[in-house]
Parts: sequence; C-alpha cells; structure tokens
Amino acid sequence: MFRRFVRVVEALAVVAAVAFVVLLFANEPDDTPATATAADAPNGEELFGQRCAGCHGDDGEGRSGPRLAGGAVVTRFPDVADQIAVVRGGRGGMPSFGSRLTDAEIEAVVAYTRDGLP
Amino acid sequence: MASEGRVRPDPGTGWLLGLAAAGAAVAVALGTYGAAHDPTGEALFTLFFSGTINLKAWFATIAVALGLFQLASAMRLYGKVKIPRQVPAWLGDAHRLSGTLAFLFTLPVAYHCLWALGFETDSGEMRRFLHSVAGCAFYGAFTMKVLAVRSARLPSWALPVAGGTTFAVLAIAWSTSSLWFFQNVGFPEI
Repeated sequence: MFRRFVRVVEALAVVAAVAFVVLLFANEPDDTPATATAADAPNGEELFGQRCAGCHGDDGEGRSGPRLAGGAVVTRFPDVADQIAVVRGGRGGMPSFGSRLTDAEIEAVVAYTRDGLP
Repeated sequence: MASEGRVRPDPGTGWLLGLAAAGAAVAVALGTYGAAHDPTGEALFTLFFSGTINLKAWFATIAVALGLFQLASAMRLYGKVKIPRQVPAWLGDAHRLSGTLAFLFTLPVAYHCLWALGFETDSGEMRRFLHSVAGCAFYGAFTMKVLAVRSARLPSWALPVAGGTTFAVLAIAWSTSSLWFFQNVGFPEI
C-alpha cells in the first residue's frame, strides 16, 4: 500500500517536472505595453503592488530586495534618472522591466517609490 | 600475451560518464534558460504565505529537511549507522518518498527563480551568483542520482556520491537564499 503511494507520488513528480519545463517557455506574460492616454494614466501604486512588492515589500520596507520606503530610495538614487535606468535595465538581482513596462509606467512606479511610499 | 596486459575499460566508467553528462546537460540547460530568458519580475501564487519569496524560503527549507531525512535514511540503509537496530521494512520506500517530495517542493521555488528573477551572472553579486549556480547544479545532481538509482552497472560508490552531491548543492542553494532570508528579513516570516 505504502509502496503504491510512493509510486503515485513519483508519477506526479514526473508530471510536475514536465509541467515545470513547459511552463518555463509557455507562461510568458503579456509583453504588449499598454498605450497610455491621459485618461488612462499609469497607476504607480498599482504597478508597485504587481511588480515590485514581492521583493521590496508591500510598503517598500524591503524583503529580498532592498528597502525603498522612508526615503531610502532617494538616498540611494539622488538623481531619479539613475533609478529609472536600474528599473529599465535591471541590476544584480533586480530584473529589467524595460520590455515589460512602458516609459510612462516606469516613471509612474518610480515616482510612487519616491513620493508615495510611507 | 599482449592482450593479457591490456587494461579493459570498466563498463561502469562509461555509464558514470554518461550520467555525469546527463546531469551537466540539465544544469547547463537550466542556467542557460535563466541567463537568456527575460525575467518577468512577477510574483507567483503564495498559498497561505504573505509573499512568493516567503513561500520559496519555506518550501526550500522543507526540501532541505527532507534531504536530511534522505541522508539519515541512506546511512541506515547502507549500514553506516545502526539506529534503529533493525532496518524497518518501510525505510527504503520512505527514503524514495522523501526524495521525491523534496524534489516536488523545489519545483515552484526554481520556477520562480528562473522565470521571474533569472540567473545571476555577475560574480560580484556573490550570494546570488552562488545561489544561481547551486540551484542549477542541484537539478543536474538530482538527475544523476535518479539515473544512478536505476542503473545496476555503476560502481557501488556512485550512488552515495550522487546522493551526497545532490544534498550538498541543495544545502548551498538553501543557505544562499532561505537562510539569508531568515537572517536578513526575519524568522519565521510566514
């Protein structure tokens, strides 16, 4: 009985391994940059929650990514252009968002990290 | 007479090289994907954890705990330790199950690492670089171990070495991620 259970789990592991490989290639997020209009301006806070909070924390308090809140990001990047360059091109463990976000979206999320975080 | 002095290659050596090549291919393929793929930077499911990173830290920790059980049970099965005195009939199956479960727990972790974060190629970022290398090496070593289990032609030391290597690289991947997370972000940080 136990041996049969072990074999079922092993079969599941094979299926999971195949799914792992397939998803690596098949699960690409929609790369089509949204066309920003005046009526549909990017929401920096929303973008932060979707793209940044996983590593930097919901309030930018820092997790696996560095702390941004409390002015930490401004201290680190006195020139906003330097921060935009890192968000766009990535650095170290920070992925590049240049192909995922429009310029307007990057500027919106950067502005939120500088002025909107606690 | 001349043929008597000729050393015949051990058939196990060819199998061993084949397994090593298969493991290396898996590790290199994953590393290549991680380096070439444009990281999405997106979170995955979180179950009851507060974030994907928290889930990853704990899943990897569970995998290491299962790996420790693998190590201990293998030592008992090989007679390197004598506790318990009688080898339970279920221990071999439990050993297999723990290894399979450990592998399953690593999959979502590796998926997020490769798909969302990518392979750290900058050796100046030593922790992330080591983690990337060890993470890919783990699946290479795991491939070797699984193939070694199913091969009867290998030298007797091959399976323990493959198993030990698999656990060692898993421990490196864990200590450069989950351990770092618990030390720098907090514990238990569910």
